[in-house]
Amino acid sequence: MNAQFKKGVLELIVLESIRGRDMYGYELVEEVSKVIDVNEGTIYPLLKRLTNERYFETYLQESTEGPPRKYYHITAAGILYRDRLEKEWLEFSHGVNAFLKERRGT
Amino acid sequence: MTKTEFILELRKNLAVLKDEEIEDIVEEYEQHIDMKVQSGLTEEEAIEDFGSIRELCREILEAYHVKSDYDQGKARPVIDLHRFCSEGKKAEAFVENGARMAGGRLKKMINRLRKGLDQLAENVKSKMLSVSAAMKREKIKAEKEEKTSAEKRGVIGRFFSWMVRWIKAFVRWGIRLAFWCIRMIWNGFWICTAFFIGVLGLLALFFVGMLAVFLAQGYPVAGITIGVLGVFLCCGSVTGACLCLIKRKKPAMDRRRGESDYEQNP
Repeated sequence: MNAQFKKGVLELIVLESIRGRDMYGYELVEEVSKVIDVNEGTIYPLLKRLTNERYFETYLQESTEGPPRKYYHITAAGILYRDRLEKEWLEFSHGVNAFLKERRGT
Repeated sequence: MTKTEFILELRKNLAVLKDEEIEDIVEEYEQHIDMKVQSGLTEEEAIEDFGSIRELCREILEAYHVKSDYDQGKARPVIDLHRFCSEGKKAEAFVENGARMAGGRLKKMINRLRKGLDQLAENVKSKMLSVSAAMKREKIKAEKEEKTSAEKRGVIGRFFSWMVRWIKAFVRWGIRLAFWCIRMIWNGFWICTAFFIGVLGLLALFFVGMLAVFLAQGYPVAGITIGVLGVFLCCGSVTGACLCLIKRKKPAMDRRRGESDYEQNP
């Protein structure tokens, strides 16, 4: 799949996934991989960036299998940002689809 | 690449960040690798899935708004320090010059003004001196004339002129005392008036304060406040006027001039 496409929507997918429930890094990678095939290395920097920009909060939770895990939780700002991204995505994909449909006839 | 090698590379590339941040990031990656190993992969395979470490670290640094090419760019000077310093010095010199010129002109004006005032003072002083000198001379002449005329008349004449001189001195003292009394009464009257009106002014100020508090609380006392404020200002100015009317002791020159004036018209 085109890398540029993936990069564009990765944020939206990550935000949407965590809005569903709080997750830690590994879990999130698995969830996102179900939607698109993603390079795991890029998930952590993305999480870091979104946390620094206050779209996510993090907290540590003890786990039975090893060291405490860092969970990510979406903030109000994060939800607003996610809504904006979804709206942009719908407009964008709708525009591209309409263009292609129009061209399909020729 | 093993886990330890990977972590080392991470730490090296992220060295610019704070220690806490580096630890945070390293922990997460370690956990991730451990969990992948648990699910069956080897360390190498897990790390391969991360892709290029350089890319990874670049993206991490972007999250902190850090320049990802910081190391390579270290040799390049950000500002041309030399030119900056020289421009700064030029600007400083320009401003200094301007200030000096302006200051110089101002000083010249002030000096001229001062000289003019000094000259004026000198003129007035010299005039007063000459006037008092002239008066003194006249006095001495008059006294001399008296003396010579008394000597001409002989012993009785001398006794007579001596008495006249004493009477004249008496009269002079009397006049000085009278004027001193008048001045005291005048000053006393004006000081008392000033005192009473001053107290009245302070009372007015007190009431202004109280009314201002009421006004702030919403009572409709705006008019009265302004009125009392006016009373306070009037009292203040009247006090000032009274204090100005107090006659202070004139300088010695003037007094002597005044006395010789009275002497001419007993």
